[in-house]
Amino acid sequence: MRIDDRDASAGRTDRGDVTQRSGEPAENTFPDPWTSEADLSERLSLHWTLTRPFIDLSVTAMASVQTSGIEAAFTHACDDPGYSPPIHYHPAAGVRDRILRELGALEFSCTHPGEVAPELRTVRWSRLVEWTDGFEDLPETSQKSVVSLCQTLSLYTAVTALAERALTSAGRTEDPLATDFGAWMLTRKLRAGSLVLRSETAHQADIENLANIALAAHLPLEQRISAGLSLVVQYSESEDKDPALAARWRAATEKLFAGFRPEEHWTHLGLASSYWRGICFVPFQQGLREQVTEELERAEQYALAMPSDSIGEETMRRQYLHPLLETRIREASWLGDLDLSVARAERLIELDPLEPKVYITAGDVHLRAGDRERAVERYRQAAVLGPPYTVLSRYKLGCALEAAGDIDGALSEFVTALRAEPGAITCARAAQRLARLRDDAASMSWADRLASDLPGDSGR
Amino acid sequence: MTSGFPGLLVAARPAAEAGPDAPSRLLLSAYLDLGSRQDDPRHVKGVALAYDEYMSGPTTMPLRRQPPGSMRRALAGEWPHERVGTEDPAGRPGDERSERWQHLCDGLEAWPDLTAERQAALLGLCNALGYFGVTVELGGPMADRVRGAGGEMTTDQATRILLVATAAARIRGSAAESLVERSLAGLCARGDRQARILARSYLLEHRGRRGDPRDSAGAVESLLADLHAPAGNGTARDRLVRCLGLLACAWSFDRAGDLRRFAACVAEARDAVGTLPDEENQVREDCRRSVAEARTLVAMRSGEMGQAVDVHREIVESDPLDVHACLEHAALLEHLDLPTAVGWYQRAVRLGAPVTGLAFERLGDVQMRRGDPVAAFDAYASATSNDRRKPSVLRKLAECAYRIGQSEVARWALEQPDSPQERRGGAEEGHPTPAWSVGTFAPGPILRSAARTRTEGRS
Repeated sequence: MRIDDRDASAGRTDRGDVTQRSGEPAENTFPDPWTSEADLSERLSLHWTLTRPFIDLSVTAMASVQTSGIEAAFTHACDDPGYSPPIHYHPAAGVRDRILRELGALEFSCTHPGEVAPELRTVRWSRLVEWTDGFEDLPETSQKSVVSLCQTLSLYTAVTALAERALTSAGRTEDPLATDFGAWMLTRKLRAGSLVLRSETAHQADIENLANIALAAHLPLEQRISAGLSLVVQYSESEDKDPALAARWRAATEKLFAGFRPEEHWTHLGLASSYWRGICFVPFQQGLREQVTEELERAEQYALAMPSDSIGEETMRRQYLHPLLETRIREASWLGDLDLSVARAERLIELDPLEPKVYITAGDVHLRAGDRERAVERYRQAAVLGPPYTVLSRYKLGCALEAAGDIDGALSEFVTALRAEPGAITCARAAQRLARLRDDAASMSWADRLASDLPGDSGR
Repeated sequence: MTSGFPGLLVAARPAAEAGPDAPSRLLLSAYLDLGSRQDDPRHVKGVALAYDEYMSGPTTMPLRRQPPGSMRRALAGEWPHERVGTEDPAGRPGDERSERWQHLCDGLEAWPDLTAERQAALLGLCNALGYFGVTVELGGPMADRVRGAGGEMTTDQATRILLVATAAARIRGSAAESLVERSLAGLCARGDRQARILARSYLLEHRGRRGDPRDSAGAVESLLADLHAPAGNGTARDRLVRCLGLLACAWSFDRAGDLRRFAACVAEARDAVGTLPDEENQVREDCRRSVAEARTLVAMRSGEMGQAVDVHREIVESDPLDVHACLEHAALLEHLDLPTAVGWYQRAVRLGAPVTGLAFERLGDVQMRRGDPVAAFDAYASATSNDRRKPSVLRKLAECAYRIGQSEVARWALEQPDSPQERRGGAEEGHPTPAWSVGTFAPGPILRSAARTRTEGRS
């Protein structure tokens, strides 16, 4: 007989009289998933607040440059103006998944917006699902907005699929580069496909498409310049590294840029900034220090010249300044000017104080400059801000603490990293090692179990 | 350009025993599956022992340390992805139950058909797991029936009543209070000598915890007189009961501020526990732990912090995986050796549940004392995760955040509502909880005294 069915004739007193418990709900102490932007106070940890735009498109008062971009993309998709300022700063593939994993919120995981369960969708997410469901019926400008929005959410599989649908519905599959819309969609499709599939075939298709766009005289200059810049970077830095090709594409892009008028529209300033930042990869590979500095100075001038009179303009400006400052930090380190790299790292923090990655960058820079204490502080701040860099920041913090002789602190950080990412082999081995030093039986036992089950090689 | 660190390798498929709750999830797994491992903390082994007693022997639970009333809620908060079963063992879904857990559920279903001894052992198991509501629901009516009947109570009846009383003492509300009083009163009137001493000890403690004026000098002196009177057949259980009775008196003297008699009672209790035979291992070790805690507090009250640390070291050395012991040791060390205290707080953070939030908060406090606001910021931020939004911690987080220029985080912290746990009245804190009968999983007297000493030292 179960407790609930117990017979009152057994003489027991009324349950309510005897078992006056604290009144909390029965077993499940956690709230049901919400369906709108209603009361979300039950689940608002700091990390949830910081990353909510990624999770369900909710607005957050604590937005980084990246999450501001999501808001800007959503706003743009709703307003559907005739002109679409590009979102410049996109997350890497898998960022959303990493965030959800660290938050323990895998119920929000999806490759397509419609895969999120209806009871979990906010009003905003439901709108995104409506747009993707009726994608073919949207005007071209709206289709671009929706694809851009999916990009900002790191939903690259959805980007690939939607771009394909856009090309098909417009009858553009045969010759997508015939129009700028087709070229735009094809670029998104192939670039996203390359990020998601990570296959040589997808990658080569992406490269080939960029080359075709850069050479297509009938396409808008901005598109061709962007394509050319992508190729310069691709041949300068990645596994496709080819200095000759990089130089050739730099020359081609220079010719295109000669006909470009940055002063025509404020968004052209952003492209101009990107241009000077992109082409400097060639002299960087050639070791031409003065030229690199000169070109990055010009990039910075253009980015700083972008207006910031509205929220949209300010978002765009920060979107261009962010990667530029990252590049300038690398430049300063490359030039051997560690003080300058520190100063720029701190500027980047001022620009984007809620982005954990900038604190990791600053920590690295301080460490190179020999300031271990400050590096530890910056890694800690990155760790506090958390996803999707919880593991990396805790790992780096652990290494820095261990180097400083704080074994207990380091061990705690490796254990915390493992809690966020149980597959972190390096952290498991470090935890094993330090747990033995500290005679911490609990951590040792757990780390031993983890490490013995993990492969010796990386899976990613 | 590299940072000089070795690369970070991440496996595509993590190990089976990994997870956000480890290693505490492993250490405390008995609370979810009734199993035990060699390297578990002692209180976890006590859960497995309670199961063994349910399956094959009389329960020793009335003589052992029991968890606080908030235990299962605390675990549910620590492990949000686990269906802990906060109110009823049947709350664990069928496909997640171990074989042992299913035995427990089957036993609850078959309650009326169990023998008296088995019922007592089942109540003991429920108490060990923190299912105090279940104990009261099943055993409360029985306790009232036995109380209403005449004659001397049997051992099993007395055991069941003691378990019901200790369970009811962990449930809030006047009905539960009334059940505690009348159950123990009945036992005082009709139990055998051992049962009467235990009942009076529990009553003394229960009333003292609540500041009940009936926690009077008269009750203590009367109990002491009985404890000193030559009686009993000198069995191991007699000596255990005597030890527990002396501790109850000791805590009463402590509440009254009588350090001399507090210390004297504790010393007597220590002598009593020293004579216990080996075969009652868990009970003996629980008793020893309680005596060691009392001795630690005697040293603290006497201002001998170094001695307090030395005494307390016996506890952490005998039970190194008990997170409460780590927290207490860290709190004691704060007065003597701040860096080492930090190390112990970090160990407590690694052990985690069921006091992860408290461990992080204390770590944050000590980092602030060391003048490291960034480390404190990190610790306080960690203390506020998992819906643990204590107002005091949020305020501390805000203060640190402002200090290090994280003004947006500070604003966020100050704007937070209380967490669901806080609104529901969360974990019990603040009660002057004597160690041996109501558990020390909540901040016990050592932590509170250490905090007071720290505050007085600063002022």
